[in-house]
Amino acid sequence: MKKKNENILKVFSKINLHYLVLTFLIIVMAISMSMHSRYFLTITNIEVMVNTFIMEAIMALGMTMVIISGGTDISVSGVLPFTAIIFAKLMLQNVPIIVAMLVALAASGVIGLINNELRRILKIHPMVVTMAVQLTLRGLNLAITNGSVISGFSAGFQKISEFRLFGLSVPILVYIILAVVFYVFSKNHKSFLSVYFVGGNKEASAFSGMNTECVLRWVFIINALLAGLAGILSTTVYNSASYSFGQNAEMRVITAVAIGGTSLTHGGNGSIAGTLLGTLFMALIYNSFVMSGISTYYQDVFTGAMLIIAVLLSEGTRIVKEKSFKQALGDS
Amino acid sequence: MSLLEIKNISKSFGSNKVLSNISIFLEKGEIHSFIGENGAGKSTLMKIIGGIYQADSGQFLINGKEVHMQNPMDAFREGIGIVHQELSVADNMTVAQNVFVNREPTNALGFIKWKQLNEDTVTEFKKIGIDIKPDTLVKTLSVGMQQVVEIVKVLSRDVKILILDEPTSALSDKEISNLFELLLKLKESGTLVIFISHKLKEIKQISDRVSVLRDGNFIGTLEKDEMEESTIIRMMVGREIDNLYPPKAKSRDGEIVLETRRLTRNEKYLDVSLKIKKGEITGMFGLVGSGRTEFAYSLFGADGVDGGEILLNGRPVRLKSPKMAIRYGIGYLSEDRKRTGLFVGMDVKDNVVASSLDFIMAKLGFLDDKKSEQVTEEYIGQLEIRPSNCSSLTVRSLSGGNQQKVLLAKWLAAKPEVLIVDEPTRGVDVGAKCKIHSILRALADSGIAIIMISSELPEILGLSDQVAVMHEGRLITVLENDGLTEETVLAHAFLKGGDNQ
Repeated sequence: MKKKNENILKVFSKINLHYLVLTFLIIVMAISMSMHSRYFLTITNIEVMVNTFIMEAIMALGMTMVIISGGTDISVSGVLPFTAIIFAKLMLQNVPIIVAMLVALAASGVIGLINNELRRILKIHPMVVTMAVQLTLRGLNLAITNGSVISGFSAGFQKISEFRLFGLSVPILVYIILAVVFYVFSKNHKSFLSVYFVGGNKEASAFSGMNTECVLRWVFIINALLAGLAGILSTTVYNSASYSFGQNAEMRVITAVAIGGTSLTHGGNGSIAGTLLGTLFMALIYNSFVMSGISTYYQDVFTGAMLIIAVLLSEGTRIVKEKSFKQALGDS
Repeated sequence: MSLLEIKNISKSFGSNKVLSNISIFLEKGEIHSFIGENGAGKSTLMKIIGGIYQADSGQFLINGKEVHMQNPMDAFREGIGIVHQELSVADNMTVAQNVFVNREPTNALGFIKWKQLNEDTVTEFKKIGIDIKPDTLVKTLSVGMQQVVEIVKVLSRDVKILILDEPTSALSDKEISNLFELLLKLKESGTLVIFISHKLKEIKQISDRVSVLRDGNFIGTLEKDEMEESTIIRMMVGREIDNLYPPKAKSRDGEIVLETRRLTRNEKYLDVSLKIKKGEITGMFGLVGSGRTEFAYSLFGADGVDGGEILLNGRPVRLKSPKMAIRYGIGYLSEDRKRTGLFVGMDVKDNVVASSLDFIMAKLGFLDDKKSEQVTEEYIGQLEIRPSNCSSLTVRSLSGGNQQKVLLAKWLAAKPEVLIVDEPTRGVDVGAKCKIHSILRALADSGIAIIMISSELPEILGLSDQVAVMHEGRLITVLENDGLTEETVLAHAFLKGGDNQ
């Protein structure tokens, strides 16, 4: 009898109820949208759908890592425009594009480092640190640009936004590559596993021989680098740079990660696979609003509600699962 | 008429019957112990008495009157108090706040009367012979003292029936004897004390009667004069266990792997010079606070040193982090498995490989999934971790004894040269304890040097080849274990330790 129970548990533990529900919802939404509007499944609309959420999608990869490590980073919505502005300013100075990119990226990486060092040295919760950094950067962005949009790049630069490979634009190509890399690393790579361990129990990680501070440092740097990359890509897409890029992006990004089942309250839980689903889900929602003509004012109302439901779902399945394990194994 | 009569209590979780038809009479003014292996149903029975779980069938009678307890508050009203096995103190609050949580003395406007709160707390602690500053933050106390706070919290309510679920597993001998004195006092005043422990010796010493559970069944109750250790063990496991401890090392002339010379950490320990040999188990005995764990921390690089040196295979080393220590082949199984040992929210497999990621790597830093599964399965089998297919279950869902085995597996997988185990069998039942002991011995036989820190003297004597006695931060003596007796060790620990002051 006990043996049988254990076998059932083994199967149960392999199925992720959360992903199942999420996939189901995505399919239902896609079907109902395509029934509602014949434009939904057109190439044009899919392009629109992807483009409206691609920067968030890129940042969600890094954010997943941050949240798994037990922290959070809301400075990304400051880093994105900051990097875009630096990149654009350099381009206007006729700096070679590659150099401009590298310098802008390096700047975003430094901000990630600053986030981490403030957290480490001052022992402040990353939420507070990154909030301060976000505010600072937003102010800086306005100050540097005087509140105006930077544009007027060479004609060659514009070509980047027109570039297509297999019909895919540069940001999408970049996202696909990053998503694959993150997915593969998250599955089995030592570096990503350490993030789970540190998020699961920082002290036990140190006692297991991990350099926890080094892990966290890279988590914050990589996350900021992705936000910086999103800033550079935004500049290429819009052929301009503005302080208003990525406003409130951090909320959309964190929501996508949370909907994907990565726990904001318990570090060490979550996955890139979940984030990919969560991102798709969010992109669909935003697109549905555009397609169905409901005022976009309601968009965030809906997203907020979805976030609560997603968290309930993931915490709920976790608790149910653990309870059923305990009961089936007997209490001791 | 009995104070508490348990009548035909049964309880199942799903299809798993945890208690079947338990009937026991418990009398006023007795200390009644329950013993049984992990999973025998003791904790479940106690949780039912405490109103945390509800029985599927059966009755409770208090003074002959049937009572129904739907929740812990009902149990409190019936005068039942439980001290849980797991610490449930709020460690960010003061001692006084913890003891009187939710019942703080207040003035008419609901403001807390701090002075009275603190004085009441001091009084409660005085009852068990402990002086404490009531405004101390609980997190600054040792695990042992935190447990005491928890006990005092329950005692400070007027309880007729006091349940203590493994109260001594984190306590020092002095704290235990204080607790026992208190239990005897409570017994004289007519309280029924229900005591759960894995330590047979304690049970013999303190209880008037002992009831044995096995696999959810009531096996029997022994009176004081029938409590032979062998009888109890036979009833618990349903068979004889001949040798409680594995044999000692075959030879004592292994090379010295690890040596400390006048190692000092200010305010923790002083001038500790110790030689650890290959193939031997060195027992470190001392009370909580004697500096033994702190010494281990330094050997493991988790804490620095202020003086002296550590020699590994004859060469001096500076261990700046656990990472470095592990590279040098030193492992440390910590006493606080939830805080510094395990990742309770992660699965067993992840926990087992946590310290040995480097060995289980395929190319480019990618984890070899097959290999890690294989390594995990190997240790699940070797250590008899239950359930046997737990590699993808979260550690949180395992029982305490099995969690401890997972922690041990983590260190076995790291293949250390020197393994420090700090209270390796705390809160673990007899069966699992024997298993852990025999594994430690097998490790030593395979050439590993083991340092075992324990506050259980029988365990130290039963397992160690040499015994290092620590007292108040000093290494008092190192004794070869050739038929050492408890008296000899204790004499060194206290008498000599006293002289050195």
